[in-house]
Amino acid sequence: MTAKDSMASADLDVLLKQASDILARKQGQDKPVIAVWGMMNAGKSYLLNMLTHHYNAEYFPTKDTRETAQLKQFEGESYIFLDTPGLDAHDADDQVAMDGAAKADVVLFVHQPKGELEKIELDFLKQLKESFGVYAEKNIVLVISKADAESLEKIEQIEQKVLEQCHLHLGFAPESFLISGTRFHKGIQQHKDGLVKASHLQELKQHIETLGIDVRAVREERIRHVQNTLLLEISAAEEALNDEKLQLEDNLYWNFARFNDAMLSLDLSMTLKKVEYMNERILGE
Amino acid sequence: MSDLILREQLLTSFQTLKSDFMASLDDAKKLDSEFQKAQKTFAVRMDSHIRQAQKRLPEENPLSSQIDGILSAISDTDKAWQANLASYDKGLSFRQDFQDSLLVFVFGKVKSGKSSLGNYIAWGHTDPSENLKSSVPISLQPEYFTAANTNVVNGDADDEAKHRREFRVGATEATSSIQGFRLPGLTWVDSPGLHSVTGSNGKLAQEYVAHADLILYIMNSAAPGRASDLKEIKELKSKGKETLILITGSDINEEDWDDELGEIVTRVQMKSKETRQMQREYIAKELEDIDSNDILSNSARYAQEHLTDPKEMQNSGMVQLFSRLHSISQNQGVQIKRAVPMTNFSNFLDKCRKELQPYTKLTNDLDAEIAHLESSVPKVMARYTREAQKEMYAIIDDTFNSLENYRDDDEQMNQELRYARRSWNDKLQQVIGIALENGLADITKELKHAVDNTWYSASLELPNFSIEKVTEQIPDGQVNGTKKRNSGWGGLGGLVAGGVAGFMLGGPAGAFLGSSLAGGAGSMAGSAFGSDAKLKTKTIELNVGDNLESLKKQLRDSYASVVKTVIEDESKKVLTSTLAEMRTVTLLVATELREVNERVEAMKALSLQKIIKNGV
Ligand SMILES: Nc1nc2c(ncn2[C@@H]2O[C@H](COP(=O)(O)OP(=O)(O)OP(=O)(O)O)[C@@H](O)[C@H]2O)c(=O)[nH]1
Ligand SMILES: Nc1nc2c(ncn2[C@@H]2O[C@H](COP(=O)(O)OP(=O)(O)OP(=O)(O)O)[C@@H](O)[C@H]2O)c(=O)[nH]1
Ligand SMILES: [Mg+2]
Ligand SMILES: [Mg+2]
Repeated sequence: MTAKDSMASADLDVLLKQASDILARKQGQDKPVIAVWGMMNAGKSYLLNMLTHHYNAEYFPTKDTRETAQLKQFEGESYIFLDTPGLDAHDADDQVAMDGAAKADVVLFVHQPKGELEKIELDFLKQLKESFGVYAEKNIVLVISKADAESLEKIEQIEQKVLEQCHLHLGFAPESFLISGTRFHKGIQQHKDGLVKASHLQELKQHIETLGIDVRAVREERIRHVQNTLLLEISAAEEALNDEKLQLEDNLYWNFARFNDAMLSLDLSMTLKKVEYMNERILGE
Repeated sequence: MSDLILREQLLTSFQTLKSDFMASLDDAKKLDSEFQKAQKTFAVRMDSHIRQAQKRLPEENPLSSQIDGILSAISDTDKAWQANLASYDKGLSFRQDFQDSLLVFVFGKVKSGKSSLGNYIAWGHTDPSENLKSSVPISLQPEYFTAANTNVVNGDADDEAKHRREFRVGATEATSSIQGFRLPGLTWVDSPGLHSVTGSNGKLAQEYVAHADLILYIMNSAAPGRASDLKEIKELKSKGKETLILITGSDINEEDWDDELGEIVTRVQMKSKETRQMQREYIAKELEDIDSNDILSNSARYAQEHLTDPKEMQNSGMVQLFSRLHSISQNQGVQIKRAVPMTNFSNFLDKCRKELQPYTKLTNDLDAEIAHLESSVPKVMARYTREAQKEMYAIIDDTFNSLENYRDDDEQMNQELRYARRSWNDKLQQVIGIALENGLADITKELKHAVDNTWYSASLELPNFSIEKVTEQIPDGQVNGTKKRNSGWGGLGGLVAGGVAGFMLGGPAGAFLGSSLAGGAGSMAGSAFGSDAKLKTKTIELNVGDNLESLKKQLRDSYASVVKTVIEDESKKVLTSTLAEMRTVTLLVATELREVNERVEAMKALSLQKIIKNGV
């Protein structure tokens, strides 16, 4: 077999593995998973500390450079909070962040007020939206963080621009909040209500409450979406493999009789794998 | 630290830099005017040497038209050389923005604070008011320019920076063009946020990057060291460009609640020293081969709030940036750049020197060829002299053979001798003429050949210059044939005849036998045929009797000697001396070339001295 052949079947293996992972996922966890997601250093971990009342000691470590590199969760009374690595911090982090987003029922997309959304943010958001299906509009929430870093006028200007971008590129404008974690923190610690209020953190909390997340429905929708995507990808891979096979057969027909035998066995293992997967799927549902 | 400087001092130091640039340009221009003077002198002298030599050429000289052609060829060659020299761009200027100042190119992600920093450098404020701008002295007013625009969303309008005299900054306002400002000695170029650069804009950006003395790579302290930033920096570094990494916006808004006002009060503070240090160290670590101390953290926002407080200015990190800019303006790269016109001129001198070589070779070779020819004239003529003499012997011998018949008849003998004398005379004239013609033909042929060769082997590289055309104007060697006989020699025929006649008339007819050819004969000949003719007269004393043999021998010797003398004299006068005359010209030209070469060498040495003085 050529290297190309083995690669194609490896791709297929990855896809099939992903599919099995999704099917194996326990549906038992009933608490909604709230994940933060966004560019590095956006203030994701800081926000989660505030949302989980970690005022004196951080549960989610923060730092003014790249910090979070792994998924980390905190199980609260009614929610599970999931921290994810920042995007564009390290190549390896991006995939971990994607995995985190896949586990979430609600995503707080954190954007700090340095201009509007960058292309890379929009690209990630588009993928996220796809994976949420009909729940995207409701369950993706926009957080403009570090609202204390600029004047309110600038912050609002940025918010408006970002919403316009969402409307244009995602087809909807998410619910958005202008949050200052540091303001909230200081307000809580020094008992200054004015600061707490101006942090808009409570409003975000309330909004999450009002979402009334139907965990089962969201997950079904997300799984259906993943399945569809996977099925499409599997067929595409299969097709590609078939094309390759045909061409190789064509090329080598006269010279290598043994090759035909190899192809035959590959064919067989592919069919077996497919049957295996279809079985799992039917049993799982 | 004593070398920490403020913005005004930095701008003043750039003004000094500007005058350094100007001084260097001036030096180069001065040297060039000296060069031009030398070039002019050379041209004028060359012209006059050639003109005078042409004037001196005698009209009737058979070599004149050839020599004239050679002189014209030299003159044409010189003109072509001068024209070629004049066609070179000596590079006696700085390319605006790219070469005439310290060029800083600002690079970085969207909204990293690039334009704000530019405004701060230009005006001392990230978003300067008209009031502030008008308070700045004229000499420190930045002059704005805008280059290619990318048309990004929310981008600046065409020429916006130029009209507004500041860069567009703001929460969502984007820079979409490559834009910049000039202050004396400083050119600052701001660029659109990374990855929004495309097409023509990208090419221009590359050109700026290539010429930049410093690339300021800007990252915002709010998200320092993103993976894509690090990739970008590594690529820049791999190009070997001087790059300074700057973490801008290293400030925070410190907030508190004012119970009385019922609102938040904020104060801009620098991020803690530790945080700033940590950010620099993180980036240094990720980039692997960089020292965290080479990265600067700063805040234009903080700096502009504390512009009169040196301690806080230092805290803002701006002072460190100014110092860095200042030291870069003093570094070798900028010094080399300063010497650009002088270096260009120095290179031009090299080219000039190089091109003087074939020119010099041409003149030297020409001189050597002519010298060689000059020395070969006697040899060539000796061969023809012998032939001419042989013919004279033959006719004299013939006569004497027939004289045998009149051995006993003196009267008759005398008569025959008189007749013979006339035909010997004619023959003499004829053989000398032929000898001279042949010699001339050989010499001219060789001259033409030598001259052509010289030009071809000089390998002059002059555009619009055809060696064929130049050597064409030098006439070919004389056609060796009877048809054109004497044409080359002008009045020579008469001259020779005169000389021989003078000799024969030396003896009065009656006194021919048994008498002597009187010494006075020479002066007679002289008066009859011009002063030159006396050279060819000959005094012969004879006793005619039975001594026919001895008479014959004497006559043979006399005629042979006349042939030799006439040919020698004539060829010396006409050929050798003309060639010598030509050589005085080639020697003069060689001297001029040597002198001009010496001057160019001296200028070259001076230019190098200046470059070294400026450069290292
Ligand atoms: N001014 C201000 N700073 C904040 C705020 N929230 C977070 N920060 C600071 O921003 C920096 C980054 O915060 P993190 O919470 O670590 O950011 P992150 O998004 O988790 O970063 P990564 O895990 O590296 O992706 C820290 O220095 C925080 O102190 C805020 O609301 N206002
Ligand atoms: N906190 C803080 N903010 C700054 C500082 N300098 C600039 N900013 C802000 O950063 C934002 C972007 O600044 P610009 O200078 O326009 O950034 P840019 O890099 O030119 O942006 P593009 O041209 O769009 O790439 C603006 O809102 C500025 O007010 C600073 O020193 N501190
Ligand atoms: Mg984090
Ligand atoms: Mg800008």
